[in-house]
Amino acid sequence: MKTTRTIFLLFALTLSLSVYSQRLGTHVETVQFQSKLVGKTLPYSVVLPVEYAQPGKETIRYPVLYLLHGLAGHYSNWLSKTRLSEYAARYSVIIITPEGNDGWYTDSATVAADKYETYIVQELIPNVESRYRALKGREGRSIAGLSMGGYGALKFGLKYPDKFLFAASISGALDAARRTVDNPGNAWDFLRPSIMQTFGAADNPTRAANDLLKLVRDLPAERIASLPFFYLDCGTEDGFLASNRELATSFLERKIPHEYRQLPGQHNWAYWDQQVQEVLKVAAQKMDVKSRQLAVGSGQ
Amino acid sequence: MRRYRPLILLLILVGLLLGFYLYTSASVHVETIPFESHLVGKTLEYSVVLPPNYRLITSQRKHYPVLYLLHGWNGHPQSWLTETKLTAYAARHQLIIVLPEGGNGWYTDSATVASEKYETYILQELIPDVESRYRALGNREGRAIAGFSMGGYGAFKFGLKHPELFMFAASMSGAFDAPTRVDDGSIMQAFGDASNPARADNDLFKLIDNLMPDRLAVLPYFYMDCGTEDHWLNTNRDLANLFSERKIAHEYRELPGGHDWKYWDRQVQDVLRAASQRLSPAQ
Repeated sequence: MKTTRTIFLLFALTLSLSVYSQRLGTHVETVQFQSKLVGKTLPYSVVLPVEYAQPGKETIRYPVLYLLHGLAGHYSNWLSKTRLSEYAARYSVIIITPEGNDGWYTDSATVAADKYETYIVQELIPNVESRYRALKGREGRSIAGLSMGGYGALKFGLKYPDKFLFAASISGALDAARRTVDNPGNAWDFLRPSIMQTFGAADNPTRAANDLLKLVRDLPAERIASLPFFYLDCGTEDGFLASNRELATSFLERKIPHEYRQLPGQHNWAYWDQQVQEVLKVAAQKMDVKSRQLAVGSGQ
Repeated sequence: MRRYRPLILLLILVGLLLGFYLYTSASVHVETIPFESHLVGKTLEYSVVLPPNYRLITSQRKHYPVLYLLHGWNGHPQSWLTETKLTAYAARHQLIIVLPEGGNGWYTDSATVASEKYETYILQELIPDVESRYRALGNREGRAIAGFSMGGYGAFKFGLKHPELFMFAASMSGAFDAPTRVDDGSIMQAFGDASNPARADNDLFKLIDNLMPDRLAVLPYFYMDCGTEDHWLNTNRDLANLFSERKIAHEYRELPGGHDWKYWDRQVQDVLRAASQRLSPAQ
């Protein structure tokens, strides 16, 4: 009799613990989004905060971080190659990992349908905000990415400052739009096909329109106060270190608020797994996650 | 029932005492040592922030890593305790934090005043005193040094000149250009006039230029940060570039902020975190 009771109690305990631990984790789902602009299915994954589906939270809206992948990567990389869903559990933020293929998050100079910039702004963000309880407006949006995605994130921040509060780059390929046959730089064999297809020949106007250094240098002084906060980091063993340092210097020259870090590391997932935790932390600080949520919750 | 009452009261009393004991041991404890420096010929008080549970009876055989946290120009050990929430931040780590007195001596053996041996005093007097008085690990893996402004300069100099002593060196808003400047009384007193050899001997950039390749591998890990509104930003950027050129393992951060306590109160939290990650754990 006593043994049965003990076994029953242990079973109940294990069951409740497993239910409880389920509720402590983040929830990940994937949306098969049909892009009319690009004319393709461009899936995106969504990491929902731990408490998103809990009773009593139905009216709360959450800030969103868009997390962009790198070249030769896909929307699923962040979740399969880092412990993102575990790190996300620390914050009340919705994380979206969009599909950008090899498009440099730019409206292609050579393939009319490859509107990988406009699709994010005009299709993806409205879709996310209609499908999830996302905070609408600049104060609740951040964008970040690695390598090609770091370039993309900073470009969205510079070109659409009214849409984002925070833009972050990890190991950004920040000089992408300047790379040509005459100015190949590091990893050119790997970068060449997608860069030439996206930005066109050296004299193509798409290049100047998407050149981060030029965007920073040509920025009218009165626009500086309206920019998002920029964060960029790069490993000291990364071939893109020089382009990161160069952009940090131009931010400094234009007195654009930013944080720049260089630290030991390469252009690989070990580095990105480590640094995405820092980006999440800074994004949460900038979007002031806790207080904003309370304000929205009590206002409804 | 009545005859058990004294026993119940006694149990409650014992419980309260035990609770009080555990509560006080669990909190961070600060004490100040009026250290007599023979070298400098003065009392140089230092403060010690002991980690939570240091005094607990079950911790009596545990040894801890130590972080030496240097103050800036016109500062004192107490500045860290009054101007920042250091004790609250210290509660997150298993780390002994020592706050030395450095006067306005640039943590350097003065080129002009024989008794002001503010570099040798740290190495030969302070560290041995700390390690005999407290349960410190007492090896390189258990020692880190950090500071802001003059203290950031000092921390990096200790790291470069005495790599065998420290695992980790950190600078916030470091005044790295000090040995090249002639516009300040304390700098003239510490390094002498422009031609004094003490200047080259204590210039971080020259120390790095002159490092033998075999010494590069034994250096501590260098962490440095600086505010983008800080006058010392350029010298910080220059030093980070030099670390990068010489392939010396380091982390450099620049972020909004001035040369003030608001910045150091925020950044000291990151320094404590980085130091804890690099140092040997308490054992």
